[in-house]
Amino acid sequence: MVLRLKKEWFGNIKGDLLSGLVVALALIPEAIAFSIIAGVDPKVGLYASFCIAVVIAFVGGRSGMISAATGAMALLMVTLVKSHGLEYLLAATVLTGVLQILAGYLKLGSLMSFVSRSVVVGFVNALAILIFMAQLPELSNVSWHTYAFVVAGLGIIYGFPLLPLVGKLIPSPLVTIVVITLVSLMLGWDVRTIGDMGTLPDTLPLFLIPNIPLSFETLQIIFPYAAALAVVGLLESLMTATIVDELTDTKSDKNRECKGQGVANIVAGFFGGMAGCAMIGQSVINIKSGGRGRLSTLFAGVMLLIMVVFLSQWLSLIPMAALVAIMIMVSIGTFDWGSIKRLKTLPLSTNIVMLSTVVVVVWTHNLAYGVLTGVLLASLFFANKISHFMYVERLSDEQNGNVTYKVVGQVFFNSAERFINSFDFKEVVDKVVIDLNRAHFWDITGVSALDKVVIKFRREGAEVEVIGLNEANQTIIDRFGIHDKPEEIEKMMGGH
Amino acid sequence: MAKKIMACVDGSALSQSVCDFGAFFSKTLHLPLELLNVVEHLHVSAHTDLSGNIGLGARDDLLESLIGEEHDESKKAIAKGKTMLLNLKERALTQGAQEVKIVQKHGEFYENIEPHKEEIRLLILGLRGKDNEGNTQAIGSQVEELIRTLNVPILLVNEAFHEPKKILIAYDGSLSSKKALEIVTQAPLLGEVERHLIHAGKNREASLSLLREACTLFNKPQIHTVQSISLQGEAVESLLSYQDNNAIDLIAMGAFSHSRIRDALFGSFTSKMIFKTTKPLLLLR
Repeated sequence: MVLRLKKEWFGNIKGDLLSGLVVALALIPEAIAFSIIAGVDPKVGLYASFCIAVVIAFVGGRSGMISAATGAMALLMVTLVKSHGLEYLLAATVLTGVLQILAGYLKLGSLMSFVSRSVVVGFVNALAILIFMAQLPELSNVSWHTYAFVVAGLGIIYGFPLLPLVGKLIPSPLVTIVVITLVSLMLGWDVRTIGDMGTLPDTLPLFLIPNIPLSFETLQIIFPYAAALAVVGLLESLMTATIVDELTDTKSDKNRECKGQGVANIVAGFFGGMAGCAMIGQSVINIKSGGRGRLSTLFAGVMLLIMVVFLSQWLSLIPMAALVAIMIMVSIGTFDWGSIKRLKTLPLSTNIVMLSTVVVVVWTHNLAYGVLTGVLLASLFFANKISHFMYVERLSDEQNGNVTYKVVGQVFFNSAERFINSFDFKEVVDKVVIDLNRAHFWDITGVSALDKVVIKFRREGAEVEVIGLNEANQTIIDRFGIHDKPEEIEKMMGGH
Repeated sequence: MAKKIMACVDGSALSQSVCDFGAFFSKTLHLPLELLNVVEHLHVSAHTDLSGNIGLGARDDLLESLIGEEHDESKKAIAKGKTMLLNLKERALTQGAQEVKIVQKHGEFYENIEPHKEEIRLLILGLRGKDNEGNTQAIGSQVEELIRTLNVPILLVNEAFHEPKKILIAYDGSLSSKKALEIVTQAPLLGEVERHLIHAGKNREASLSLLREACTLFNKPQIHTVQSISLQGEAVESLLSYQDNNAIDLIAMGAFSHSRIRDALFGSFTSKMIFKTTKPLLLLR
């Protein structure tokens, strides 16, 4: 709607421009750092961040969210770059975009509802840990000068904002970079600089079609990478979108975001950039700095490119230590400290889900595996909890030697075994009545368990009568329609 | 479906006039009046923090501080709105309104009005709200969108209340104009008033024949005084100068009959009228 568009672009011009600038300053070191992780030239990450940020500003589903080259995606590209080189990576990026657009049209964004909160928290924490771990290669086998710079950098980043008056007006990452670069030039210490890591952009991004053979073999090579990139990209983007929704108290269109990510990645692939997705750390910085609309994302991307292309000689002088300090800051900010505090108060199953997500991600360096593990565990815990909601009551009728078994609760795969064991088959009876009026069967395991019980009783010579089977079976059918009607739900669950 | 008059007030200078018009129509049409105040949320922080760093627990801290700020802001806005609504309710009742209901809502203007559009007989809006107070060149940002997308009669108020005695009905022969005439004749909002049916165009012959055609619609009971006048010249200027010369109290017309694209390229008649008129505009779609 036109009104909404106007608000998303022009509703907060001053705030958006300022925050876009702040974000761009932190985006530069991140894009460079993630290129290095992936094993490509810094310019690949910088071009990627520019393209993705600018395109997403127009087509994304969540205004105020920052998307660029990210660590999660970079980690998945390492082996592809090592084995086949940059061109294959660019092709994989384009394919990633295509898959993401497909996911958007198939409304897979709505599948986010199956990802429980603890998995999201685990994902975020694992991401923070991964970003931190990616800095370690820069910190090993180096002189004490590097450590000094990193510590000084962190000191400036967290200390500068505390200064009265200027503290909150100048972004501390900028101060850090400037101060550390000047000090390293003045003292003449030999530390690694950005210039040592590869080539920086000297022109605006150029359109180029990746130089790869268009064959089935190529597809076979890039498809697994593209699939992983698409999944991880969408997961991180949708989760970040949820976080930004909370911070800004506004809604976003998840499926539109999927399509937007897809388009952005396709554009990045054709302009020499690697695949990227939404970034939690940067989005939080954006919101914190007052950014709310699409203009902030656009401005961040544009300022990033302008600063990089026109200041590239100075950029190559910046010590890697300054970047490391900024990246450590991002990883600290991304980590959900509150979740650690809450470990004490939340139930064990929730904690296991969160921790196992973190462990699997850190171990495999693949966020998708972690999320799968987390979702699986969360679902199993859920099924386990529900299976406790079942009991079988035995009532015996002394007059005519009948026994009635009253089943109450949910019978499905997890509780089926317990269901069968609740009947006393050793008892000699003439007639058994199984009352299912207050029972619910959720799948055919439940039904087959019932059959087993009936068969066993009959083989022992008893007459079996089952009452209330129709009502109990109503929950087996995939009746999507009734779930919205309160009266139907009352009828079914009224007696539990 | 039980209908009502809905008047939207935000505490700006025009709100009192909006309320007065609401009371007037409620009295003449014997319909209940609802005073709607939509509490605005800016969702933008008042503090600038450009420090660009995030520490441990950054997200939770940021969320907490945003919640705190917005909570205080919202409470103040609600209290102010409530006081205003109560004052206006008093005012409306003393002016003879049927029954007055006051409603406060969060969210967007449009999403609070749209679900009720079937029940709204007439929607009354101030031409500009608090944001543009005093700036006679500006129109409220939401006005055009609302008019284009809501198919209910909308009365745009831009001055203090005078009881409408003479009204001008602008007719240009378009479909939207004809529809507007249908509404005026079949479900008139005003009772005994002097109606001037005006067509402004270049060709006097064509103009007169259009007017003759339009007048046939008026040969139905209840609508009495109708004069039909043909003006030559540019539409907006002619209508406005006629309005000035003849002490017209209110102008009624079909609104935004052309597509957005045409309006963007050629300028829209409705927009020009909204901009230039000094009297209330009744827009019918």
